[in-house]
Parts: sequence; structure tokens; C-alpha cells
Amino acid sequence: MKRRELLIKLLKNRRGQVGALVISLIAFFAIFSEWIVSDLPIYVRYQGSAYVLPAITHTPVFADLRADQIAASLGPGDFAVWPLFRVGPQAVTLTPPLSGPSSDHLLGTDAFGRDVFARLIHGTRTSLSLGALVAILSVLGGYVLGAIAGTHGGMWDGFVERLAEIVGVFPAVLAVALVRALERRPSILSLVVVITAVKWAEVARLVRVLVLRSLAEDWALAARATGVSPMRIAFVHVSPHLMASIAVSAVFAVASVVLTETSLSFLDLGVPSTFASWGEMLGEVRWGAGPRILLPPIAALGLTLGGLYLIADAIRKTFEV
Amino acid sequence: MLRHALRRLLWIVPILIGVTLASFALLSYVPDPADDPAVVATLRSDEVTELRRSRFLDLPRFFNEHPSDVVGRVDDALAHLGADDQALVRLGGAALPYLLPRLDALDPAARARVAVALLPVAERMGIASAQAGDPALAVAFWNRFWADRGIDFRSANARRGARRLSVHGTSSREADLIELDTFALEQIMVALDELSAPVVGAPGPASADERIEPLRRLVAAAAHVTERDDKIADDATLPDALACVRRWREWWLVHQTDYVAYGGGSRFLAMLTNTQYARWADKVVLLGFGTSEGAVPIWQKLRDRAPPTLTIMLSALVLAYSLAIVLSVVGSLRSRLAIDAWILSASLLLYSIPTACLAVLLARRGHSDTVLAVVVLAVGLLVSPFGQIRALFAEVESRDYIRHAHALGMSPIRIAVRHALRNAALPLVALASVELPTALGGAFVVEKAFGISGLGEETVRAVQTHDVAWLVGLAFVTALTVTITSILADLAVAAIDPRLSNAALYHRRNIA
Repeated sequence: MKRRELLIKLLKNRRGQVGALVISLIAFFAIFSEWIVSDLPIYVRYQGSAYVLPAITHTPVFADLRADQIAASLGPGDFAVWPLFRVGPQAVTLTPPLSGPSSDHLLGTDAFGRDVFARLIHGTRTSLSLGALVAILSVLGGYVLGAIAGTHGGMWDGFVERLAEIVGVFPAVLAVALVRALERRPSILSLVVVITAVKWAEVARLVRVLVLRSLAEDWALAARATGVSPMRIAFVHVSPHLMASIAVSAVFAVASVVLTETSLSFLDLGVPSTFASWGEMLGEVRWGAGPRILLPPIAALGLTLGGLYLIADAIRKTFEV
Repeated sequence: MLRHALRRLLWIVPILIGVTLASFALLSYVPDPADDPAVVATLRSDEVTELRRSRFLDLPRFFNEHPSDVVGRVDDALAHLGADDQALVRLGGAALPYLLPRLDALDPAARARVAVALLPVAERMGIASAQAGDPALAVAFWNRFWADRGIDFRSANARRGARRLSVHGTSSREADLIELDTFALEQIMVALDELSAPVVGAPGPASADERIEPLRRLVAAAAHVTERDDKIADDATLPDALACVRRWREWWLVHQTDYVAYGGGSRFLAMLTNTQYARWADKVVLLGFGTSEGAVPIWQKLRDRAPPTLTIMLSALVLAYSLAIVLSVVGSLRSRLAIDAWILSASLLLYSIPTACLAVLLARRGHSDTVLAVVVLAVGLLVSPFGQIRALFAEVESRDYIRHAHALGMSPIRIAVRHALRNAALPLVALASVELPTALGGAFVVEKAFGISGLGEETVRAVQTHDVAWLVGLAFVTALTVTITSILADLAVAAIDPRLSNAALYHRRNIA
């Protein structure tokens, strides 16, 4: 089938359309978090100067000001365009900790008195982008190494397998904890690096066995007989057959960042980052967070997974022979 | 088959070396607790040096270009004469072969100073006289000593001395050994090693007392020459005595560079062994997996802690995979119906609930037992195999042989189980062996939530206190488990799908 036809088939898939809709909705929240909920205005004319999205540009003028203080200190001629909700993800609000939903705080506050809704929306960006990064990196790395192992066999195969085994020996949670201990200030990037380093092995093994299986098929033998190199078979001819499995792997890789971060903060390993993310919110279970705080990120993660899975399903249907 | 299994088992060795190298490299860059400014501030500078040394922080990580030995330390002491004369006393007899012959080359003032500084050594050796303490006569004393006794300072002599003392303790034999001072330490340690771990089958001493006696004599000699107060008490039992010997072995591991000289081949070897990595591996292997904090051998701790964790982990994996197979078979039977979509959404939602949250919420309600822990962990592990089987089922659905089976009128459930499932076996088994560490991480979480005391509690503590010995012990056990399961997985795949046996077992290219 031609590429164009495949694309049309993919785009016409009903499940894929639903999945894409869900994912774009979540991506919208991720991209426009500062427009929806933030303790800084979208646009403000403040003491003669104009600022656009000071929350993103980290304007020092507003560093220590709460939303109500900024609103109060606006002089004559100043004006501000505020987001839908005037509360930030990091700011400790004046509302007592663990209080229920109110008009100011849609989902109430957490154990530190921070707004749960703001953290959910801002966490979307962190969790989604890190998840995507892990998925892309681990699938790329895993595919290349797995394909090399599957086609070249012998020493290469042994090497990749052993490497995967070494990597696979330590649980991801422990590996991240050790790397976090190295850093002076915990960055969320270490999470990406280590989870990718662990995840590629999973993809590589999957690709390896599927390449091995495909190479035993008649069409692969036919291709070999006509002089196609094994690497070309692995990357060009076998890849459509791998799409289904790889897409599913990638979906779970996206979630693994959130889940690993949760385990990490629950086990008290490494210094948690103060950045708002779904994993960090879920980790608050150890501070006594109840379903009110836990359910929103769980639902968000579930929606993301569902949407991605529908897209993966559409990809599988498209490449079905 | 057997050859394959054996080869894979042999591969464990390089895998373990890789694991230890990787975990060591990582841990060596973690700021050590001994370097914590808050700790350092409370100690004197020599205590800090000692603490750093006991954690091997004074050594390079992987390669030591200039391994320091007693010769180097004598050079140091002579270069800084007057600043730290105690260093010469600490080096003691081991330094004499490299110090006394050089006395004449020093200028008279330095010569006298060194000779007087050695007085405590002479006292320790039991040869001190009024001469040794007199600045005017001390040099002559030591020169005469070296002319008379220099010939005794050979390792063969030290070895004989240590052997003789261990066989039968008389005061003259003890005096002979003590006269060599720290020069005898290396051979004392060798003798201690041989005595504390007797060769199996060799005729050994029968009673515990007979075993303790030689150990006690040797340890006493070592304690005397090093002025360390760690002896085997008179009423000590055999385990007490062995624990004391182990403490001495650990001390020797840290301090041997003060007493041993490297020449030729041994210097080259020292470049590799006098490094953080080698010392630490030595500590782990030689001392039976070392003693992590709390002085309980790692093996014993692993044996105590592993069963609950392994039970939870393996039962959860088995439960998750059987459930995944059942669910996907059910799903595939009715793939046109809504039930498949429902199963799928439910499983995705379950996956989105982190194990930690589910476990804590259940534990808060007061439920807590092992069965529940297994179920909670299985829920987290379920979705990944389920997704894979579904994808594979869907892929084979349109294959000719499945259509053929349908055309023959076989029941859908038989097709799913006998034909489709067999095709999914290979990726599934591969996935299961990779998921083992994930399951272990999950087991840690579940254990903490339900208050089960297993590997998790210990591991979290080890990460927080940089207890390398425990982490390596854990890595060893997991590496062993992963390798053995992956061998079993390969064998299982070969049994299920004979076409693949060559590829799976021998990793060869010619599959057809």
C-alpha cells in the first residue's frame, strides 16, 4: 500500500479520531496552563511598563507578590488581564491545608495549602512532555538496538541481550533514587534519563523477538533471496508488523514517568522536586492525601492513556495486513 | 539445550561485574556521608582522615597510577621530618628495611631525630635500652640493630614466625614475632585467614577452644604491634573470635598500604587493587558479602528478608499474566461487541491508579494481609501484558491459518487458546522476564504500604545511608533471578514454538 493511502486510512479511523481529540484537549491544557490558572496576569500594565505572561518570563518585579497584592497595587492607568483562576501551582494559599472545594479553589487545597486544580493543570505540561520524551527516546533506542540484535545475531545479539540484562537488574525506582542522590538540586530530567535507560531494554527485547519471528516468515526469506540486506528487512519490511506492539509500548512508557515518580516520592527516595506534576501530586498520598486530591491526577492519567491507546489502536488497524 | 543453559549461567559472571561496576560508578559520585560538612565539623582532622580512609575515599576510583606503599610512606615521613614523627612509629617495623639503610645518607641532625623518634618502636619490639633514647647514641643503636637483625626482616621469616606462634604459643615464639613488629602483620593476616576458614576435609582442630587459641595468640600479636585495642577475650566463644578476626581483616583491607611494599609485578597489581572499586569488591567478596550497617552478614539478612518479597512479587506476576491471558481470550471472542472496549477501558483506568495510592487507600481502611498485597501489585502489572496480547491477537486474527481454522468450524475459544495464544507466547515470555525488576519495585511500594518487612525497607535504608554492600547483594540476587528466568523463558519458547528453537536458543542468524 502506498504511504498516502496508509495515512488516509489512519486519519479515517474512528477510534483514532476520538483518541486524537482527547489528546489534543489535554495538550491544550498543557500548552495554555498560564492562561487558565495562574497567580500572575496574562497581560499587565504595571507602574508604566507592560508585561506579557510574566509567569513564563519569570519577571522579577512580581517574584514575591500574590495575585491579590498585585491587583491591589495596580495604580491609575494600570490594568491587568487575568486568567480564569487567580491561583498559582507553587503558591501556598491563605486557605487552610486539606480543605475542600470552594469557589476560589475548584478542587480544594493539598497538605501544604496549595491549590489542587492549579497543580493539576500545570502538572499536565510537565507530565505529558516528559512522558512523550521518554516514549520517543526509548522507542528509538530500543528499536535500533533490538533490530541489530535480531538481524545480526551472534556477538551483537549477545551484547544487546547482556546490556539489557544489566540495565534490567535494578528496578527503575532504585536507579532513579541513586541518580537523584547525585544531584545537588533534584531535576526532573534525571527521571527522564534513567527511565529511558531502563525502558529501551523492554522495547529492544520486544523488537528483537519480533524481528526474529518475522525473519523466519516466507516473505522475509523471499526478500533475502532477492538480495535485500537483513538490516533493510528489519527497518523497512518488518517495521509495519512491529507498529502495533511498539505503539502499545510507547503508550505505557508515557505513563511510566508519572508512576515512577509516584513510587519514588512514596518510598521517600531522593529529594522530590517541587515542580507541579501528576506524579508528585499522587505521591502526596504519604502526607495523608485522600481521594479528593488523588482522583484528579488519576483521572487525567487515565484519560491520557485512553486517548493514546485509541491512537495506538488506530495505528495497529492501519498497518494490519 | 543443556549447553545453552550452562552458557547462559556462565554469562552471569560478566553481568554481575557489569552491575557492580555500574552501581559502584554511580555510588562513587554520590556525596559520601563522611564528606558531609555537618559531620566533618564535629571531628578532629585526624579523625576525618581516618573516617575517609575507612571508606576508601583516599583512593582513586578505578586506576591508581601511583599506589602508595610503605616505601612511599617512609619517603613522606622523611620529607616532612619533625612535622609528624608519630607516622614513623605507626609504620614501625615494616618501615625499618627501607629506613635504616638510608640513615647514613641523612644529615646528622635528621639522622638523630629519626633514631630518637623510633624509640617507641624499640619499646614495642622489646629491645629498648638506655642507648635508644639518647640522641647521641640512638643512631649507633639502630645501625647495630640493623647489622645484627636486618637478616630477620624477610617475609619467609615472618611467615615462619606467624606459623610457629599459631601452632604453639610460648613466650619466646611470641617475642620472636613481636621483634619483627609491623613487618609481621602481612603474614599474621595470611595465617588468620587460613585459620578462620579451614579447608574442608583437612584434619583440623576438633574443639572450639582449640580453634580459638591460635586465633587469640595471633590477634594479640597484631594488637600489640599496631597498638589497636581489639583482642579476643578469654571467655570468647568461637563466633565472637571469628567476628574479631573479621574486624581485623577489614582493618587490614583499609590499612595494608602502610605496611606492605610493592615491587615489580605486585606494584602493577597494586595499581588495579589499590582503588576504591577493587577494595570495595574485595570487601564484598572476601568477607562473605561484607557486613552492612548493623554487623549482620548480608547473606543472612537477604535470607531473612527475601521470602516475603519474592512471594509477593512472583505470585503477583503469575496472577497478572494469567488474568491477562483470560481477559484477552474473552475479549477476542467478542471483539465486535462492547465488552472488549469495556475490558480495555477498565484495565487502562486500573493502570492509571499508582500502586502506592491503591495500597495506601486500602491499608487505611484497615485491610492488610499478604493476599491483598499480591492483588494490589498484580493490578499494576496486569495492563502491560494484556495490551501486548490484545495487539498480537488482533495481528494474527486475519492470518490464513486462523481463517482456515474458522472455516473448519473450530470453536472460537479453541482457536484462541490453541492457535492464537501459541503465537503470542514468544513476546509474552520475553515481556515477563523484563518485568521482573518492575515487579520488584512495585513490591517495595506494596510492602511499605502494608507494613510487611521485606527487601524494600532494607533497600530504602541502604539508598539513604549509601550502604553499597546491601545494594550489591540485592543486585546479585536480582541478576541471578533474572538470568535464570530468562533461561527458563528461552527454553519455554523453544518448547512452545519449535520453529524458533534455533533462533531463541543459539542466537544464530540462520533461522530457516
